[in-house]
Amino acid sequence: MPVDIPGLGARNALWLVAQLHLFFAAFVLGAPIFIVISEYLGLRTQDQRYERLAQETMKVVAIAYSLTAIFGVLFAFVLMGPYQPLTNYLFKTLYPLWTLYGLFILLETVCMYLYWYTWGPLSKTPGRKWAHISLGVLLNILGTIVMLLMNAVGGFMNTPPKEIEAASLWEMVNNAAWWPLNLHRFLGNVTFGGFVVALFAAFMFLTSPKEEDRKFYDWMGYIGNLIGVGTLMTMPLAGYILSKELFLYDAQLATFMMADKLSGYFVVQGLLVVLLFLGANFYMWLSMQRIEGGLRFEPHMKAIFAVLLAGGIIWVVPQNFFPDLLAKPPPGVSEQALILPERFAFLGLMVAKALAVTAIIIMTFVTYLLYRRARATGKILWGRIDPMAQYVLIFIPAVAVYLMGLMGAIRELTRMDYHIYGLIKDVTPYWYTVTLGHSSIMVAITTILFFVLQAFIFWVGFVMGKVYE
Amino acid sequence: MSDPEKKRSLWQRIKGPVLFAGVSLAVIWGLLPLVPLSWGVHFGVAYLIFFSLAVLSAALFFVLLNWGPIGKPNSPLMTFASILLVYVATVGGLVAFGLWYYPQFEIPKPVVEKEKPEETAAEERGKEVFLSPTVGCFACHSIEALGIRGGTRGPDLSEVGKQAEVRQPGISAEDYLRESIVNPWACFTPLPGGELVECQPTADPAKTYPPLMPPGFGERLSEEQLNNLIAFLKSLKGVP
Repeated sequence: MPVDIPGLGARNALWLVAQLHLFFAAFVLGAPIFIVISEYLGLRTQDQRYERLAQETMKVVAIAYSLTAIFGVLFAFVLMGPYQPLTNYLFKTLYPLWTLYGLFILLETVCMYLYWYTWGPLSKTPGRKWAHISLGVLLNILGTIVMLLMNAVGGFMNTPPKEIEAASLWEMVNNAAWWPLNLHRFLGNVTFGGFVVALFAAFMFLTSPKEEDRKFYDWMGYIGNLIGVGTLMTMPLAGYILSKELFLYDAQLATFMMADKLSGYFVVQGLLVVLLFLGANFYMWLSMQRIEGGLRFEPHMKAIFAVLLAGGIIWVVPQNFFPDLLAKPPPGVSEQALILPERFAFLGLMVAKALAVTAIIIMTFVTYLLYRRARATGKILWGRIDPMAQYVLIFIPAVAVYLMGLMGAIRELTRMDYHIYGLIKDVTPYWYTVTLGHSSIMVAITTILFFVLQAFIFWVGFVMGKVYE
Repeated sequence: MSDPEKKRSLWQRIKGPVLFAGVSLAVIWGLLPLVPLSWGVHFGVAYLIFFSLAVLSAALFFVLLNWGPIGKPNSPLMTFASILLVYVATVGGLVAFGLWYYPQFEIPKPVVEKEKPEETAAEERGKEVFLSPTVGCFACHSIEALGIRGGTRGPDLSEVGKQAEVRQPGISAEDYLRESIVNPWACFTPLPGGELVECQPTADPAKTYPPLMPPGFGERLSEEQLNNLIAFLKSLKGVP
C-alpha cells in the first residue's frame, strides 16, 4: 500500500468521503425525477403548490450539487493515494467509461444550472414552461446516464466477468450486478429524495412563523413521504433481484451474506425497514387526524399497528446469535441458547420473513386506503397537523439515510478480501471484513454529517434568505 | 386542568401500553424459562432480551400513538435542538443495537510492519493463502507472534515451523505440515502445556486437539497454494 491515512486509516477515510458523496449524489439524482413531475403537475392542474414544491426542492438540489462534487473530488483523492494500484487498474481497464463519465458530468452540470437559473424566465408562458420541463427531463436523462456509468464500475468490482482476459469492455460494463444495481439505485434514489424532501418540509414547518407557510410545508411533507413510501414498497423486490444475481454469480456469496459475517447486518437491515414502515404508517395516521372525522379510524389503525409490530418482530428475529459461521458461544453459554428453539425454527426461514414483509406492505397499503377514505368524507385542514408528525418526518430520513449507508456497506463487504472480487486482492492492512459494530459507527457518523450538511443547506438557502427579506 | 386530572389523563394515555409491557415481560422472564427443554420451545437468554426489547419498543410506540398533540417549540434554537435530538437519538439507538446488542465476530489484528520477519516470496504468498477467507485458516488458528488474531479452536501456529520438526520422528517438517493440512486426522496435535511433543495417532480429549480440522484441503487448494502455505508455516518459529 503506497500511503495510509494516520489515525483514521485509509479504509475509514475512504468510507466517510465515498458515503457522503453517495448520499448527496442519491439526492441530486433522485429529487429531480419528481421535481420535474411536480412542475408538470403544477402546469397541468394550475395548483401553485406543485410549482413551489418543485422550485424549493430544486433550490436545495442546486446547493447540494456543489457538496456532491466536493465529496466526489475528496473520494477521488483518497482513491488516488492509499488505493493507487486499484485506481490505476480501474482507470486502465475501463478508460472509455471514465471519459464518458467526465463528459456526462459536465453536460449534467450545465443542464442543472440552466434548469435552475431559467426557472423564472421560462415560466412566463405555457410554451416556455414546456421548454423548461423538457430541460428538466433532459437533466434526468443525463443524471441517469451518469448513474449507469458509475454503477458499471461498482458492479464490475462485485461481479467482474469470470474470464477477464478475454472480456470485452461491454462485457465488463454489462456485468452480472449492473442492471440489478441500476434498478435498486434508481428506486433507492427516488425513495431517498422523497424522504429528504419530507425532512426539508418538516424543518421548514417547525421554523416557519407564518400560518400560510406551515400549510404549504405540511402538504409538502405529506407529498415527500408519499413518494418515499411509494417507492420504498418496491425496494425489497429490487434488493431481492440484486441478491439473486450475486448468488447466481457465486454461490459462496450467498453463505457469506445470509449465514456468515454479513448475517448480522441483515438483521439490522430488517430492523431499519420495519422502523421505516412503522414511521410512515404513524405519519399517515397523524395526517389522518387533521382531516375532519379522521379520528374515527383509530380502532382500525391500532389493529394495523399491531400487525405491523408483529410482522416486524418476525422479520427481525434472528435464526441464531452467532456473528459468523465459525464463532463459538461465549464461556458458560450453550450453543442451543443462541439458536431458535426447534418448534420456532421456522421463524428463521425466508418463508416466514417473506410472509412478514408481505403483511407489512399490505398493511401500509391499507393505511393509505383508510387515508383516502377519510379524505373522501372530510376536509383536510392543512397546517393543523400535530407537530409530532414533523418529528416523525425527521425520524424517517434518519432511518432511511442509515439504511442506505448500511446497505452500501453490505454490498462493498460482499467482495470479502478483494478490491475486485476474484480478481484483485486487497493487500492493505484493511483487507478483512469489519464487524457490525464498526460499520454501525461509520454509518452513524456519515448519517449525522449528512444531516448537519443538509440542515446547513436548508438554513443558508431558506431561513437566512427569509431573514434577509 | 388540575393536577389530579392531568395525572389521570397521563395514566389514561399510558395505561394500555404499560399493562401490555408488564404482562409480556412477566411471561418472557417468568414463564418461558420454566418450559421444559423437551417441548422444543425453550428460548435462550439472548432471545429473551430480544423479545423484551421488542415488547418495550412496541409499548413505547403505543404510548406515542396515545399521546395526542404536542406543542411546537417556542424559539428557533429550541426547534433546531429538538430536531437534532430526534435525529441523533434515532441514529444512536441504531448504533446501540448494532454495536452493543448484536454479537461481533473476531477480526484479525493488522500486522505491525516492524515486527514482521523477513519473508521470501513463497512465504508471503503462503500468508495470503492463510489470511484468505475462501480458505479460512485464520477462522480457527491464530498466529500471535505475528499479531494475527484468528480463531482459537485450533492450535496457535506461532511456533509451528519449530514444532513441525519434532512432531513425527523421521519425518521432515515440510512433510509433516503437508500431511497435517491434506490429511489432518492422520495425527493429532498435543494440547499446549502438556508433556506430549509428538503428534498422536488417536484423538484424546485430555491430551490432544479434537478432530475439528475439516479434511479436503488437498482438493480445495492448488499445488502452488499448498506449497506456499507450507513455506509460510515452516517459517513460523516464535516471536522473532
